[in-house]
Order: sequence, then structure tokens, then C-alpha cells
Amino acid sequence: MGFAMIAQVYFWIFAAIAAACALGVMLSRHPINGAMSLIGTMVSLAGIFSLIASPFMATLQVLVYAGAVMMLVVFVIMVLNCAKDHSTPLFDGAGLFGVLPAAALGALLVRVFVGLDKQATVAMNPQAPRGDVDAISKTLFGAGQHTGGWALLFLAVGILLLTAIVGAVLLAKRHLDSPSEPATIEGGH
Amino acid sequence: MDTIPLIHLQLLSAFLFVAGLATVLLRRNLFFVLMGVELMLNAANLSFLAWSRVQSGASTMEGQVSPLFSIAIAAAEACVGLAMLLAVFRSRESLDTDAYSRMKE
Amino acid sequence: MERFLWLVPALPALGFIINGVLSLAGSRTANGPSRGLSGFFAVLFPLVSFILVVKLHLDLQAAQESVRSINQNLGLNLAVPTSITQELWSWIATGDINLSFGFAFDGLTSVMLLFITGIGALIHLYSIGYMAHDRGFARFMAYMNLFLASMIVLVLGNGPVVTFLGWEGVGLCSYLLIGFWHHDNANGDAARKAFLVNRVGDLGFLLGLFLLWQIVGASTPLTYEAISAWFRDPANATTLATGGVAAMLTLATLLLFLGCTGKSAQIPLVTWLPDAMAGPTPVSALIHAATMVTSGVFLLARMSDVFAHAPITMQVIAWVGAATAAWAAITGLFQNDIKKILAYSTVSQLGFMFLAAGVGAFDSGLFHVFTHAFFKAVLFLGAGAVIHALGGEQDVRKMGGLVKKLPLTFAAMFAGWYAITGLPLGAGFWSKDLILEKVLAQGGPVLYGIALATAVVTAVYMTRLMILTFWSPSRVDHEVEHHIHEAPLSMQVPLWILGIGSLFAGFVWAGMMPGWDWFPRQFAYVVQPAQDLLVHGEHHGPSVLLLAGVGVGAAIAGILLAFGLFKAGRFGEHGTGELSGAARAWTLLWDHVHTVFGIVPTRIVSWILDKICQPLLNGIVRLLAYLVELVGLVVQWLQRSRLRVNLAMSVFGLVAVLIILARDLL
Repeated sequence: MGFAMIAQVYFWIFAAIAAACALGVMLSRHPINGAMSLIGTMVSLAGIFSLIASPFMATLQVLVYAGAVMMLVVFVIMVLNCAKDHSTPLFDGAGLFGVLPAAALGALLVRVFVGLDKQATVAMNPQAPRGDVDAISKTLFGAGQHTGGWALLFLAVGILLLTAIVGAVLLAKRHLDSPSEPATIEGGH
Repeated sequence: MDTIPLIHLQLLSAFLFVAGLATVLLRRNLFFVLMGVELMLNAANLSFLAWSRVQSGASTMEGQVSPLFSIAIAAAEACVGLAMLLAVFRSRESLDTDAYSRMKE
Repeated sequence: MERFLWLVPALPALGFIINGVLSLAGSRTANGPSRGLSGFFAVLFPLVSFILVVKLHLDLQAAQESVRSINQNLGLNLAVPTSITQELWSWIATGDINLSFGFAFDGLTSVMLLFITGIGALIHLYSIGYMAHDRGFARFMAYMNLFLASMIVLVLGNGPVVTFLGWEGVGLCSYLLIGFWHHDNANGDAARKAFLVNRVGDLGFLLGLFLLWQIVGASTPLTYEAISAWFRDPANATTLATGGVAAMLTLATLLLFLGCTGKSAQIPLVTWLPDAMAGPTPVSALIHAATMVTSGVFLLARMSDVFAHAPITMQVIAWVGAATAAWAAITGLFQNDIKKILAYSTVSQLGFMFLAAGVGAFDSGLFHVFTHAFFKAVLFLGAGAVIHALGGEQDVRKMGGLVKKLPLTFAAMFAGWYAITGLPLGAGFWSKDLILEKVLAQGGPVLYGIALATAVVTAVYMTRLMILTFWSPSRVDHEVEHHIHEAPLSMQVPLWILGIGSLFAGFVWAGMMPGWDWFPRQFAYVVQPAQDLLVHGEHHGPSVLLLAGVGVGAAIAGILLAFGLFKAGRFGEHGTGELSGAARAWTLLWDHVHTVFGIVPTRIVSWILDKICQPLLNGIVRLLAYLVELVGLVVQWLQRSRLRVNLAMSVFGLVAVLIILARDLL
């Protein structure tokens, strides 16, 4: 059993977990179950990322997504403990209507991917560099290039995150005009 | 290392994306809507990374870098989205999206 | 100096703005805007314009003279400058079309502008006295200034398009001023009539211009200079001789002439001018006698090179001029309103000018424009003074004996009467005899006979006017009679100046005296090539002195006839009613023609549109509205304010867009 075979096996395991957990997100009753399923999807996706030579992204997936973002979601779910979804039916008319465009989009995507797969031009490129920290940071900051790489965009994302934090603080305050009022939930951010 | 066929990765990505979209459209609980969006973003990231494996030359790394920004934006979106969720929940005492249908009231 | 050319129209325009602001600002105060301030600006700017024009005129003369002397002394053949031009900006620039907005000051423009700004300034001065007690004093002055600015643009424009701008501007001001006393509905009707009739002419002007442009080609810039050069160029003679182009040119010139008939009140668009007398008298003097109505003659002279190549049009112009002159002179006999008499007289004199232009004597026609501006202005202003003295009475049957009460006004009007009848050495004598001479030489005995008969009738109705107003026993109402007074000084001064002008303005072209030809020399280079083209060889007719004698004889015959008729107390000087019977039918002849050929067909078409087309269109529109409503009912079902449903619809849209985008991959 060579490396290629092992990679194949791991891919199938991760893919099965990811797909199952995605269905779990879609169908679970309580948000906390959904969040846990989502974390499962994310972690197994991190495994797939490392299988396709992207170790840096795999690390970020676990650290930022499964770690920070989902921790935030779970935290808010626990703060709003009354967020159960018992009273409403899982499938109602409007919801089932929503499945139709999703299915249409899926059919379109599958059709395109299968079509592309038959063309020889989209074969895997064995020479493609690994997405490790070294390669990504060089690309990101334009080392050895005439352009500045993605540095400007990177800074813009920093500003975006800052703006998002300020916006979140302001949104979560009870009243904008009474800042002295004690905040109870904002600490979570 | 490049033994996993592209089509498998892309089909998995498509499945996750459709599952996320279906969650957004199907569920009435606001938490699930947010989680559906996260799922879609993850699917897109997978697709980016997979496509980067079939590129050659200078564009190979672009597929590796784009998910970085996607994650950053997802983090910002989650941050603001959850804050909005809190604000809305305070005024409506509900997480049912159908209860927000008349936003102007 | 050419840098200041734009100031000539800009100064009265500035006056318009200042007076407009004054009028608006003062409209809510108890006494209205300050009359002193408003009047000062209103007269100042035309006066400065006049001085500028004089300066420009002298500059042009000096430039031409210096080049001529260089040519003479050094034996060179340098081109003598023909005009002072200034291009202000590129107006319309698309594709082949490249129109510049600019002014051109040449000999023809200079003589026109000299009397337009000069007489214009005098009439503004007169208006200060005439309108002194009117609430809308500043508004009146603003309109007058705007009119003067438009008239200057009309004359000064470097091409027909700029002229058209002024052409429309004077039409607008004419409308505003005829309806100046808009509280009376009849005045508004008269203003609308003038505007609408002029609109028909303007359409002709535009269509003619388009056709003309077709002929000369889009590569020729639309300036008078370029158009004249094109028509003078022998290389284009063969093009013009082809049947299609010749027919097109005839049509184009006829359409342009239709524009002229509209502005200058010739048959068939004659009807608006008598009604235009509803406006204040200074308006009648300035716009409807001295300046605006002569713009048709000006345009003919300006484009004489074009018209000279269309002999059929020239025939039409001559006959229309003669017919208008004769019809309007006879109509003038029946009128009892002093301003109406003068209005028909104006139409008749304009007919003379067109007759002259039609037989190929553009310079004689312009000479009559020039002299007519003086004597008709003084007659109108004198009539205004009489009306002013009688407290608004315009019916000549209620006047009489005013020679003792208003001696100064009488003296001025006598000068005007002396000039218009064509008595020796008056302004009208020179110009009218010149026209009669040219008509006989170049137009033939029939046209000459009509013109001479018209001259007799002119003398008759003008003498009738003088007899009924000044010389016959007084028929003025008693309570009015106490208040008769001479006009204030601001009205007197223009009367004197214009009266003197009426007597002596003709000496600028005393045809019988060699060397007394200042007037035609100014613009000979503009119209002479066209006139040479139209006149073939020397004409050997009766001597000039004999013809002048016949002309004076006609005038004296008319005057004696009038004295014979009206001293005996006939022609209804005691009646008070409206016109009736044949006189009324004759007066309203062209109104009836308009009714039959213009208004009735329009009504029929309107009826068809109203009763048939409109319900049809309405039905279609209603059907569409109903369909939209139906679709709306269906779509409404989808819009039940459920976020998820709306979102799902959006995703459907997204899928559709993606299918279109990725159609190559499918």
C-alpha cells in the first residue's frame, strides 16, 4: 500500500465525515448540535487541506475557524439559552421551496465539474508548490515580484476586521446614546 | 501527494456548498442561517485550494492565498452577524427568521 | 477692437439682467421698482452700444482705407478686409458639423446696427416718459433691452444659425411686449397670434436653412462669408445648374423667404402685425416699425448671393412685395385706429422693400429700411404722444384740431408725413424714388404701375391721418380736452431727433447727385455681386429726373385727393362703430385665408386625433395597465414578506445567471 493509496483512504474518510457533519448542520434541532457538527466538518476539511499540500491553510482552518469563530458561535448560543428550535417544524412549505434552488445550483455545479473533468487540461499539476508558510508569505507580500503582491489587500483586511469589531461592539450595546449602562454580553467579543 | 482526483474534491466542495445553502434557505433559526453561511465559505475554500493544484506558473499560489482572505472575512462576518443576532434577539425575543419578516415595524 | 465685438449685444443683455432683477426685487413694494435707476440703465446700455458700433464702424473704414492706399501706392493687390469678426466659442461640434458661435461686423451689419442701436436708444429714452406711470416700468425696460440684444445678435451673427438665435429672441420679445398689458385678454390673444404666425415663418427659415446646407455641403461652415464665397465660386456654377440642385435651391430660398414673410409681415403671414399694435406705442415704434420687421429684408440682403441664383424665388418675392404693399395701403384707408393706420402703413412700406429686393435692388431695399426706420419711428412716437395727450384715445374720429394744442408733436409728425409721402428731399423721397426707378428698370411696367399706385394711396391715407388728427375741427371729448398737454422732455427729444432724421436721412444716398452715395458704398461688396448677376446690361429707360417727377407727382396727387375727400367730411369721420361691410372684409382678407387654409384643416386633424386616435391610444394604454395589474397580482403572491422565500427566488436568479455565464461549459 503506497502513499497514494493511503491518501486516497484518508480522503474518503474525511470526506464522509465532512458530508455527514454538513447534513448534521442542516438537520439538527438544537443549535449546539449544529455547531458541533460544523466543527466536525471544519476539522475534517482541515485534514483534506493537508492532504492536498496546503498545510498552512489546514492550520488556519483549525485555529481560526474551528477554534475562534466557532467558539464565538457556541458562546453566543450558550448565552441565549432559550434558542431552542422545538416549536417550529423542521420542514415547512417555504423551507422546502428553498431546497429547490439549492438543488438546482448543486445540479449546475456537478454538471460543470463533471464536464471539466473530461477535459485533459485540468489534470493535477505535480509541480505545483506546497502551500506552506514560506510560499504563502512570499506570495502574500510580493517577495521577488514587481508588484506588491497581496500586501495592500492584506492591510485592507486588517482594517475590515477592526471595523467589524467596532461595529459589533456598537451593535451589541443596548442603546447607543447611553454608554454608561452596564453591559453584560459585550464582554464575549 | 497529488493522488486525489480534482473531481472528487470539487464534488465534495459542491456538496458542502449546497448543504450550506440548503441550511440557509431551509432553517428558520438564525443560528443555523449563520452556520450555513460558514459552511458555504468553507466549501469555497476547499474549491480554491483544489483548483490551485491544477494551475501552473505564477498563478499556482493564488488559490492558496485567497482562502486566507476568505477566512478573515468569515471571521468579520461571524463577529458582526452574531452582534446583530444579539441586537435582534433583544428587540424581538425570538430567533425565528419569519418573525423578522416585517423589519420596519 | 474685434475683442470687444461681443460687448455690442452683451451690454443690452446686461441691461436686461439688471432691469429684470430690479423688476423682480421691486415687484412687492408699494410704488414698484425705482424708475430713475431702471430708466438710467435701460438707456445707458443701448447708448454705449451705439457708441461702440460707431467706433467699430470707423475702425472698419480705417482698416479698409489703409489697405486700399497701400495697394494704390505700392501697386499691390492685397485683399481689402471685409469684416471685423470674433469667434466666441465652438457651439456645436459633432462629426462633420462644426458650428462656431461668433460675430461678424461688415458694412451691411454696420449700417443696420447704426440705426438699430441709435434709434433703439432714442426709443428707450422716449419710453421713460411714455411708461412713467406704469407699474411694470422696469419689466418693460427689461424686455426692451432684451429685444435690443436679440436684434443685435440677429444682425451681428456670423452665420444663419446665430442669426436664428436672435431671430427667435426678437420673436419672444415681440410676444412679451405685445402682451405687456396682459390683464386685458385681447392683448394676450394678439401676442399669441403674433407668436404663432411667426412660428410658421420660423419653421420655413429652419427648413430652408437645412436645405441650403444640403446644397453647399456639410464641409462648408455655416457662416455668411463661407456661403457667399461658395455661391460666388465659379467652380460651383455647374453644380448649381443641374436640375435637382436648382429645384432644391428654389425650394430652399422660398422657405427662407417664408421665414422673412413671417418676421416682416408679408403676405401670407401678414395678419399678426396690425394686431401687434396692442402693445405699448414705443414697442410698435421700435419693434413693429423700425427694426424687427425689417429683419426679413436684412436676411434677403445678407444672403443675396443665394437668392440671386434662384430667379423664380426673386419673382415671387417681387410679386409678394407688390401685392402686400398695395393690399396694406388700401387697408390703411379704412382704419380708424391711429396705430392701425400706421401698422398697415408699415406693412405696405415693407412690401416696397421686398419689391425692391425682389427685382434685384437689395441696396435700394435696405435704403428704404434705413429711411423708413426714421420716419416710421417718428410717426409712431408722435402717435404715441398724441395718445398720451388724449389719455389713451386711439380713434382718429375722436381727434382733430390738435395742431394748436400739440404744436411740437405736430411738427415732428409733419416731418414724418413729409418723408413717407415722398415729397421732395424728405427721407422717403430718395428711397422710394430709387425703388420705383429700379422697379421700372428691372421689374417691368406692371410692377412699376402697382408701386406707383401704392405710392398715391400711401399719400392719401397718411394725409387722411394728418387731417383727422391735426387739421380738421376738434371732435375731442370735453373732459379729455382740458387735460391735453405736450409730452414730457424725455419724449420730445427723440421726436425732434427722429423728425430731423426723417427730413434729412435720405441724403446719405441722394441718387441724383453724384458722390452722395455714402450709404450703398458701405456694403456694396456684400450685395453688389448678386445684383450684377441679376441685372444684365445697361438699361435705357426714362431719365432719373423724369421718374422722380412722376413720383413726386403721385405724392402730390394723393395729398390733393385726400384733402378733396376728407375736407368734405366723408369717409366716416363722425362714426364710432367698428368697420363693416367691404372694408371689414378687405381688412380681414388674410385672416380669412388663414382660417380656410390653416385653421380649419388643423381643426379637422385635431378632431380626428381627438375622437379617433386618442381613444385608440387610450385603450392600448389601459390594456397595458391592466396586464401589468394582472402580472402584479401573480407576483404579489410571491412577495409575502417571507425572507427565506425571497432569498430562494434570488438564488433561482443566481442559477439563471450562472447558466448564462457558464453556457460554454455545459
